[in-house]
Amino acid sequence: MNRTVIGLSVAVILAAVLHVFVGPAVWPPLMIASPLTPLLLALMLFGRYRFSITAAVVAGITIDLISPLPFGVTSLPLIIGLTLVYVLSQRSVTDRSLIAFTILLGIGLIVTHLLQLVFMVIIFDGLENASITFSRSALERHGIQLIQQLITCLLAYGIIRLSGRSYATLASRTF
Amino acid sequence: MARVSSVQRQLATAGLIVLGFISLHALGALQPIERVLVAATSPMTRLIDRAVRAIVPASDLSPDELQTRVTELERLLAEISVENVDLRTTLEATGQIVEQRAFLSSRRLEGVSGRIVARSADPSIRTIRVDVGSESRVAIDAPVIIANGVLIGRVVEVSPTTSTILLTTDARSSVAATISDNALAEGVVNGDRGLALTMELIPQNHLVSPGAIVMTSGTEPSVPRGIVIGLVERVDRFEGALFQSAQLRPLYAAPQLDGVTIIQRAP
Repeated sequence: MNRTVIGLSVAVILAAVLHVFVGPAVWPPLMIASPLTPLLLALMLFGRYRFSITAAVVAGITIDLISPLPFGVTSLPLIIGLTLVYVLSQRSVTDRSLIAFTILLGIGLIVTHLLQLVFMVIIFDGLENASITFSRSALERHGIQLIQQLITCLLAYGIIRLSGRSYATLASRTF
Repeated sequence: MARVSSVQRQLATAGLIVLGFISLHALGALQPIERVLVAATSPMTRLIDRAVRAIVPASDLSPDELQTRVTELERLLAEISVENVDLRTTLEATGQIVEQRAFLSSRRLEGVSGRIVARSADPSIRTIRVDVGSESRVAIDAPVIIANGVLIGRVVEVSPTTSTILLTTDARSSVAATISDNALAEGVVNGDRGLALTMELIPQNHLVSPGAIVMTSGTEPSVPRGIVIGLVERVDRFEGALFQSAQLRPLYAAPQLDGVTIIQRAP
């Protein structure tokens, strides 16, 4: 097991703990889903394509199966988010800075959250309840989650960089 | 380049798998798997949930405080429900008063509005008490109306702040009346066992038809002409008799009365 995976595992634990204290939902599967999204997006940026896609499918579908939320609300935005991050990372392949990393992940996370809200309206709440789904409190809740997920990503980034691996080296490797 | 296309293929496959699962879920094919998974993970999720709630309580309030809050909210709800009923009643009464005011204004009459504060407990005695009296220039025998000028009774007793009204349906009530489409067909409307009205002493030579409107004749000094009393339901006419009589239907229901207007004497 390489240092990247260890680093990311530590980040998952830290993110889960963070989620308990600042996250809006403490339902256990969501505690896993919330840090999972940014970490899989981060792994995608670090070139762990096959691992992150497989993990997204397996974990996303499993959470959807046991979650009381509408089916697909976790897995589908996650796959779309991964695709988006992948496309963006390919277009900015030369820029490996922390800022680029944060921006790319930020875009990925915002898109993922918006997709979750849209899916909630389309699949679950219905268009007549769109104003509730997109209410200020709901957006605030997603905003808190977004910030928490970004912190998770930065933790992951810091741990990976502290481990001495260069972004370019990691990006060249795949599972 | 080959790797890029491989990743794209993987992403597309992942997307298709997820969409496939969503379709299967929509068709209900995943229900057995979902049930098994939920059953299998429930103990773990419950355990984690309990642990998390031990660290971060779901609410800042203790269970006792929450119970107190619930009790307080229930009491508040009951109060608000009562208040809501009161407000609805007030709104309804206000609407009636506005209608009565419009009638008085159109007839150049003056009146004072009052709310019913008591009703006779005896069903054979049709009296009500309202919260306006002689201080508001209410006088004995003053006619009392509701809605768009419907006579419901007359004042029989006055105190400075209250008035007692004898309803037209009371057997002791008697009002000089006429038929709206035949001014010469005059008579006297009496109360009938607290339920209906009877118009008596109508001269035989005047035609009275069911459905005709009966109104005050204005022959009594305290009661202006043209206030509606009721509708003719049946006419009793006997050959050789000097007068005919008619059964009238009152245009109000005593139990539903709330806001009334007493026509004031001229200052």
